[in-house]
Amino acid sequence: MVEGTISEWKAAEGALIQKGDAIMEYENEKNTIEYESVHGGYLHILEPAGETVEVGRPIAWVTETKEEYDALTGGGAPAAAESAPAAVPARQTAPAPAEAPAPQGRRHVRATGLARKMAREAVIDLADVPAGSGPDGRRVAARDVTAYLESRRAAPAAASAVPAAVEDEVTAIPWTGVRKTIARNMMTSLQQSAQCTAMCEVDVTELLALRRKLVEGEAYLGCRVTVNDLLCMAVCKVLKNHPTVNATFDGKTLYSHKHVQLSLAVATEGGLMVPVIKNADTLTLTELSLAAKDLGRRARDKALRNGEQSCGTCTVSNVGMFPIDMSTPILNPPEVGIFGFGRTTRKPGYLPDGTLAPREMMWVYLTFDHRVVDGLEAGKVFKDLQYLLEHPQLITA
Amino acid sequence: MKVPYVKAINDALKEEMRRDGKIVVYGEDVAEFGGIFGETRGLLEEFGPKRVRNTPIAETAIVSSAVGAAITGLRPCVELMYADFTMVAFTEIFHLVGKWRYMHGPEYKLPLVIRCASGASNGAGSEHSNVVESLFMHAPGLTIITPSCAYDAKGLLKSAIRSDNPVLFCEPKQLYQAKQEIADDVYGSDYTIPIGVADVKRPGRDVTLVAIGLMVPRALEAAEKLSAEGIEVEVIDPRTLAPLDTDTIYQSIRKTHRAAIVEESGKTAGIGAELIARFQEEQYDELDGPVVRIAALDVPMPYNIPMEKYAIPDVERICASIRAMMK
Repeated sequence: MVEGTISEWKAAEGALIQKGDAIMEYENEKNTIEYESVHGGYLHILEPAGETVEVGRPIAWVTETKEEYDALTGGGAPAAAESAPAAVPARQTAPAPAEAPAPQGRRHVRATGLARKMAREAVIDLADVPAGSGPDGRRVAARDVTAYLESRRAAPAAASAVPAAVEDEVTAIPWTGVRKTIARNMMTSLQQSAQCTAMCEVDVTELLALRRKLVEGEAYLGCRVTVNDLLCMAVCKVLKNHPTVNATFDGKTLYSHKHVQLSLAVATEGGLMVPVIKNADTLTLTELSLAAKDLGRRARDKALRNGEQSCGTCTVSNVGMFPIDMSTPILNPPEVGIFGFGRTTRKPGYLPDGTLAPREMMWVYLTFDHRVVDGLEAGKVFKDLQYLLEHPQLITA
Repeated sequence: MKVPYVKAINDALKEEMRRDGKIVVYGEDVAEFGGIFGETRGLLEEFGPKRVRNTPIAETAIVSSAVGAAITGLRPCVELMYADFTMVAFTEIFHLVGKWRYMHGPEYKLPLVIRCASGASNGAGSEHSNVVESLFMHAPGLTIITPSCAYDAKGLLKSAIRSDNPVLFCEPKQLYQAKQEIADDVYGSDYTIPIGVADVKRPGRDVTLVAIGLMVPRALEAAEKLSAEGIEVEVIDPRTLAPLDTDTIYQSIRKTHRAAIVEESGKTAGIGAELIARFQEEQYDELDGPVVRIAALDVPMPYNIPMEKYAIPDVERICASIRAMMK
């Protein structure tokens, strides 16, 4: 974790807080976390909600007495000796993501204090304002800002002479926290691995029949088994036989895992979450079903705990609820494989005896890192997976 | 009536001495001679030699004895003649006068006024032409007053004498004979002007010009000229340099967004230097260009009168500086 975004201050400015109070909620790269104060006292907030703050920078002061708080907020310097800055705890929740590229060096703009204030209030970049003041005409003064603002106002007015000009509305959405991390991870993934997607259409008529029987046994099993549970179980079985796909790769070494740490792609309003079912290959179908349900629900509730989104070895992404046949999912680094399952469609199919019959067909696809998984291995994976899905009794065997 | 500045000083002294028997006046040539500029004329005759007396040419003794008199119950209003001679009593003014109320506790009051005649006066030379406010602005505990017209001089000297804190009261020599029209009933009304309150001498929207002492009438003349060119200058006279009425000045800066200071003292480490430092610290976002100092040249004041005039800001130099700011 290198920075966090303050989502909400739960305690108000100046409030008397107790040690252990949840005073603030912040988003790190993967999660929203409550921050409990390690000091009691009067809270003086330095960084408002919405700010993204690097780890280690003070976000608030907690003073022991009201007098210190008044001194602090009355314009005086922070009484550092008596108060302790509360900083975002620098808990490492995952391998630290690659540093974002350093922001571009800002060109110094020669401008007066008033011009800077006006630019700040008008939300314009002073570098865009043509300078025309000062002894050499290179300083931006208030009148230059005024002229620039007037010219900007004049420009759309001129354009409005064109008939039926519809005024557009642009909303600027800061891409922070989880969103920012997803963006960075997606880009890093595509830039730093050789991704290749293969697919095949599988007859899942038998699988769906099996699932219907399992649903009938819901009361006995204690859970309602989903198609996705069966697919995950099948993937675990296949991965046990293909250790190079149940692996992570750092560019130098391929780390092949004995057990399957199965990442589940969960779409939430807050963005894509990828909780991990630990040692999924050791679980029974009902255990796996319960684990997947629990993680999915908590991902949507932003209640995942630290570590529950890390150390996956392969991912499953199911878009079967949408009218999508197939996609080319993006690898979740450092994993080298991500399985995808599309929607199920009823199609005419030939039975072994040559007769035509309606069949439930599903696209199954796999994006793999071609640096470490070659076509032969991917082919074998598909062969096994197709066989399992078309002979679903083997999945739970 | 037309009141000369020196008469306002003289009347303020007389009126206060009539009001309070504890007020004493002493200094070089203040008694029979009535002061070299005539400020103390008639005091000896009215108040007698116990309350008005000449001293030897010993500024150290004048100030230190006045400190003693002040903390033991009198209210001395002493005169050092030329402001340059404050240097002879620098230790006393800097250490005793400014600090003793702080050092010795609340039971000691220090109702002392030190008057001096400051600035250039037609060839008095470099040891008799100094303006000393900026030197003493560095001394904690001193009140420093420089009135620029008869009305202010009378009202402020009365406030200075009534104050329980020590005051350095600077009177620009070239203003002594300057006359101001003041209504009789106002002049005779025992009015006072509060210490620490600046006066907007002329309102204007374009530039805030802080002018001190002798420079106030020149700034007003310059403002009149510039107004004809379309530049409206707001002239502010702080009147009291310590404590400084920044509220009034900042209110003006927030209106005009440009500021200049005109003073009779040298530019380096002068009054303007301190004011600019405060402006940029406290009004940075309001300033639309560098704050300009219009001040005397950093030279020993020449006794040659044309050169003396050249060394001190005049109306033309003020106008030129303000015009340059508006480019």
